[in-house]
Amino acid sequence: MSGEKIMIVDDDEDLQVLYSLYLKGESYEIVQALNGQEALDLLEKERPDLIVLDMIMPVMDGEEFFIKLRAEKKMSSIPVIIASINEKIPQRLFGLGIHDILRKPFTIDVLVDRIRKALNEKKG
Amino acid sequence: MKKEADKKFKRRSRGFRISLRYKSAVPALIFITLMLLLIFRTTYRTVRQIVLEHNQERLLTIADVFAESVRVPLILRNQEVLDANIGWMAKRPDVLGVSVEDSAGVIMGAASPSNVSLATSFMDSDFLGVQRVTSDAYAVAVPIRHGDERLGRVVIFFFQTDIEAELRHIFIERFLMAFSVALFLAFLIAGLTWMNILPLSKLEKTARQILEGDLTARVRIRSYDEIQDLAEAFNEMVARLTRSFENLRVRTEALEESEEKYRLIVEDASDVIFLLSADGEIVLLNKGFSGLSRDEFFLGGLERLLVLHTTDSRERFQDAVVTVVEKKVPVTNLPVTHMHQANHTEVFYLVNLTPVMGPEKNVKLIQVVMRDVTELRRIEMMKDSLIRDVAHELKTPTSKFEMAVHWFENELKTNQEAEKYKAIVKILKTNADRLMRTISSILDLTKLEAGMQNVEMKTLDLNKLLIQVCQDMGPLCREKGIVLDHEGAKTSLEVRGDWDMLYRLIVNLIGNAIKFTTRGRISVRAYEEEGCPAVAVRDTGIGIAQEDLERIFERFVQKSASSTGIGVGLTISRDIAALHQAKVWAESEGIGKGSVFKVQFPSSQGTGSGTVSP
Repeated sequence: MSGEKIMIVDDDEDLQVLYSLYLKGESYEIVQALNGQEALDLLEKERPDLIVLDMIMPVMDGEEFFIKLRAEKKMSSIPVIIASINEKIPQRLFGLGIHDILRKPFTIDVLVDRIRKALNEKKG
Repeated sequence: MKKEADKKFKRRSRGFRISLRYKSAVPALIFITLMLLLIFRTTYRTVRQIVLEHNQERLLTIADVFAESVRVPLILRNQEVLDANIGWMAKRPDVLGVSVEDSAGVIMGAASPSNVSLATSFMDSDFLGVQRVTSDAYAVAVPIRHGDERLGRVVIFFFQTDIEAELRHIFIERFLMAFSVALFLAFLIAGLTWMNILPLSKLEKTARQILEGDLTARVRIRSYDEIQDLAEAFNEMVARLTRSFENLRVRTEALEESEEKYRLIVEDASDVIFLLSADGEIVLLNKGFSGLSRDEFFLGGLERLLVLHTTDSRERFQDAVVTVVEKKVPVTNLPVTHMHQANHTEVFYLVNLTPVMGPEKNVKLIQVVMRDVTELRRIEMMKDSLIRDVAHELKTPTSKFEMAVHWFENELKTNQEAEKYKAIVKILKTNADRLMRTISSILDLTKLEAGMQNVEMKTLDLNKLLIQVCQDMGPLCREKGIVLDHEGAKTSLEVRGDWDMLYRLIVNLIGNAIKFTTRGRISVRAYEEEGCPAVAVRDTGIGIAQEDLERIFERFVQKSASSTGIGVGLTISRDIAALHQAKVWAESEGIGKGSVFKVQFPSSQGTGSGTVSP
């Protein structure tokens, strides 16, 4: 169950640290990307099992990244949990397979819970 | 008004009038004239009769004497004497002609001194007597007798001045004299009457003076008759009327003053005040509002007013009017929004509707007082948005802070050496949680106060909602050693609502239960009651006193001072429920016996756009 690789795409470095601390505690492997572009660059090399995606980021935002991610065949089935502070998620993203949406801020327990659930579903 | 009345009066006075002077004189004159005519006529007839008869007697006597004088010459057949006698007779100035006939009708002698043609009808020898031949000639025939023997006849034509015409002339003359006297009498009566009624014109003049407004005018008449009585009565009447009028004026003035006072209060009021009649008319409006003038409201009535409202305001206002009319109770602080007709901006009012009762205990009018709270609302919205922004800004760092502390706490659990930090980390954690809850509550409240703007009504399944809530609240319960049970309904329970808001509603109820339960069980149940979907959150906590069951939903009410949070959780739940036309209430057997919070949704009849889940 453990050892899965989770990519955190968020420009908030504090959150990166916090998520990493917790998720590492849950024995997940963590890949950090501060924006969509960075995440795209790391995708091929890291091949994450799940992506936690922020929406508002510099350079390349979550929406653009998500569309590009789904455009790549190999990556199109990676579960994505959107963690956004915004109440509205662009409508066109729904058709591309969002696994879960978390409204920021959320407690770390909720995040861990949802990640576990998403990964279980993926396996199942 | 007064001038109008004057005009009317004058116009009326120009109508048909007969002076009293002639009212008695003219009939008297006519009557006397007619009487005179009658008397003169009958007298004339009688006199004429007598005169004519007398005249005929005289003529017959003359003729008889003449007949006697020609008897002897006729017997003696003395033509000479006969002719002399005839000549003598014919010389009389009033004789036109004389003829003497014998018994056979043969004229024995005749004379016609005047050239008067004699009527031939008198040639008939049998005719005897007097006959009028022309207007001024009479024929008289008398027999000449000697003993029983008739010797012949004498016919004399007398000239007679027309006695009748003369008589008529005399009578007409006398009549005219009498008529003149009557006329003079009539004038005398008219003059006397005029003198008698002269004071009346004085009275009239005074009446007019009074009509023109001079209430001090009085009439002074010394005629020692009924007119003087009338004048005195008139004066008394005017005096009394003047007193009444003065009384009335004083009272009217007082009334006007009082009315002015109230009018000023209403007109100068900063609020809009008006009265709404039962048939939707606007009566008494102190000023225009929402970009329309007073007159436009008077003309348009309730319809015009309603058009100003935004859709939901209009419904609220109409509902309030119905409530006031039917229940006869005031509705206060009703928030309504108008579209300003000139600026096309929203204007916010707080409206009080008060029933004005009629004599039959029905609502006759509705008094409406509208306070413009647009500026107040703007400031409030600024304040709200400031609070929201601040809370929002605080949320992200606080959540990080909370996460960090949480991590620390977990770390310390496994680290035996860090026992000394445990107490301090607990303080950090408790307060971070509290801070977070406070911020969330503030955000929820401000969002709710902003109204339904961000509310997305969709059909959703209560079971799914409860699963989500219990999943998210699970860790917090475990931490406090509370068992969180979830019992879903057997079928799906659909309600229409905003997922996030309903989520918050249930979370707040569970959060509240956690807050007041130290150890034990919280069970969350979805069920259907009388066709209405419902949720119950039952705890084994400290319970609620009977008198607090209502109060706990009020803002900033805390059961104990040491409680965490700011005491708005239940208020938020209640507000959310209200937005969904749902009811939320608490039940408790009393202190120490736990409590149940129930939410009941309206029966789900409408079907929505499908089930939504995050």
